Amino acid sequence: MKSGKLRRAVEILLVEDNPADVRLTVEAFKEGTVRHKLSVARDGVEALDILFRRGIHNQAVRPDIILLDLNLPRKDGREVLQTIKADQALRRIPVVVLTTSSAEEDILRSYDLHVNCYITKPVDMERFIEVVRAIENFWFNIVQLPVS
Amino acid sequence: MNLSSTSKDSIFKSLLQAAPDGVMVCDSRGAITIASDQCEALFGYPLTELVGQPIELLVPDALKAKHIGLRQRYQEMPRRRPMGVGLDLHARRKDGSQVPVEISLSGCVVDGEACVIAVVRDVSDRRRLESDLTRLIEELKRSNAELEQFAYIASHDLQEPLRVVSGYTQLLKRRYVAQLDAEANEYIDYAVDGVKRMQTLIHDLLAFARLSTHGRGFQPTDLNFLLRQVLANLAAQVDEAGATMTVGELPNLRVDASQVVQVFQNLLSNALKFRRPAVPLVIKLTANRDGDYWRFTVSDNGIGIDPQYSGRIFEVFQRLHSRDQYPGNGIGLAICKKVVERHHGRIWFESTLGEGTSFHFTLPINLDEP
Repeated sequence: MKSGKLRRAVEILLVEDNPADVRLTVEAFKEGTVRHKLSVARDGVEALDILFRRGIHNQAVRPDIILLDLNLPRKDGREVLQTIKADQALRRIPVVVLTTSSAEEDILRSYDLHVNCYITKPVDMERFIEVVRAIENFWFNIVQLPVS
Repeated sequence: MNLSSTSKDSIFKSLLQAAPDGVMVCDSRGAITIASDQCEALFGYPLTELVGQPIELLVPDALKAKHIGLRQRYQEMPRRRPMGVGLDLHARRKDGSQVPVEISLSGCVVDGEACVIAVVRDVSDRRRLESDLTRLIEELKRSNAELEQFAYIASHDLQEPLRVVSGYTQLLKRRYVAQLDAEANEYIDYAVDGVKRMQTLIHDLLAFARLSTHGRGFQPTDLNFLLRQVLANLAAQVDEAGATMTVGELPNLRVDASQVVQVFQNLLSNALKFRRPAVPLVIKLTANRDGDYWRFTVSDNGIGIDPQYSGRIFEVFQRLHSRDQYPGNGIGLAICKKVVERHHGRIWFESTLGEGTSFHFTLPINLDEP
């Protein structure tokens, strides 16, 4: 199979520093239907270490999708996005910016850096669960993902 | 009128003393031969101490040597030189202090001798105003930058903790609803409701702040087209209120369409909201040319506004009714006022409590860039 829908569990990399937010996203994915494995990077540096399999992350699995917050410690989401999209191999991984920011400058900047889509996290939990379902459905049921 | 030379002389003297600027005549060696009364106040010297002295007496020490050269060159080839706009000149006063001046020069010949007439104007008031203005502009720029920063914080950092609070309270309800009693669920609903309200407040405040920082330019706009958009947005509310809407012909004006649309939207949506339950709602929108402005009026036959609140209703988050009666955050009219004022117009209202309200606002026919 050169490309197509995945038979194995979907690998999701969530880049998010706030543990309370991480847990909410984890819980929202639990309510979904797609079999997945979710790893978490707590800042931009750790995210890039995982993606480039550096240091303690030398056994890291390449994710099928990256959910990226923008305001992160050490290296922020914009820099992470720029690095991913500048890399020949990593640029194929869909990156979904998932952030509380609805600032126009953040949205424009992210698309300028070739983000695959930009989502403002709804405050309402029911809505957030719907959004996570929509992410699952779109990226794992509808979209043809590249298979490395 | 034929004037005798004595009359001419007296008119010349009166003219000299009446001039608001200091006027001096220097001879070919640069000595002051005539100085008007104003020179006393300007330079702090009695006239008797000026006449006969070289003009360099009034030049700051640093420029004295250079000035002699400049003066000699001027006298070889005198030409009219108007007040030096942009020339940052200073005169030295008797007490050693310096006063910012503008100087105009012209040559004249007296008894065969080439002389120079210098008119000296004290511009310290203007310089002070200019520097005050520069400082004010700097302050304004800084406060705008701070506002921008605040707007970003509001759109991102303040939302995050709110999301956590509402997310977990809702999750609690979602996962534990069977284990919680009715009262616990009610508490959760209140907590979630509070968070949502906080979120709309932040959102509204942000929208308000961005009116000045994210304003677009003024473009020629067909306001009839704008209004059709607003009416489409409000179609459901118009239906629900069973309102009769009458809309007059609107002009084409140079405006920031994204902002003026909010004025129409807020005024019409208020008219729809604050209606009297027993009276069929009638809303009229008219536009009339009034000198250099167009005046727009939105009238309704709704509940009216108590005149005692007239000062407050255009302020941010001011509400005259409880949320149960009429929903909203009290940002709409504050937005209207800010938009209208950004367009150099005015907004006000007339109302009779229990009978209806008319909101008026003006927009200028010729609007330069903001």
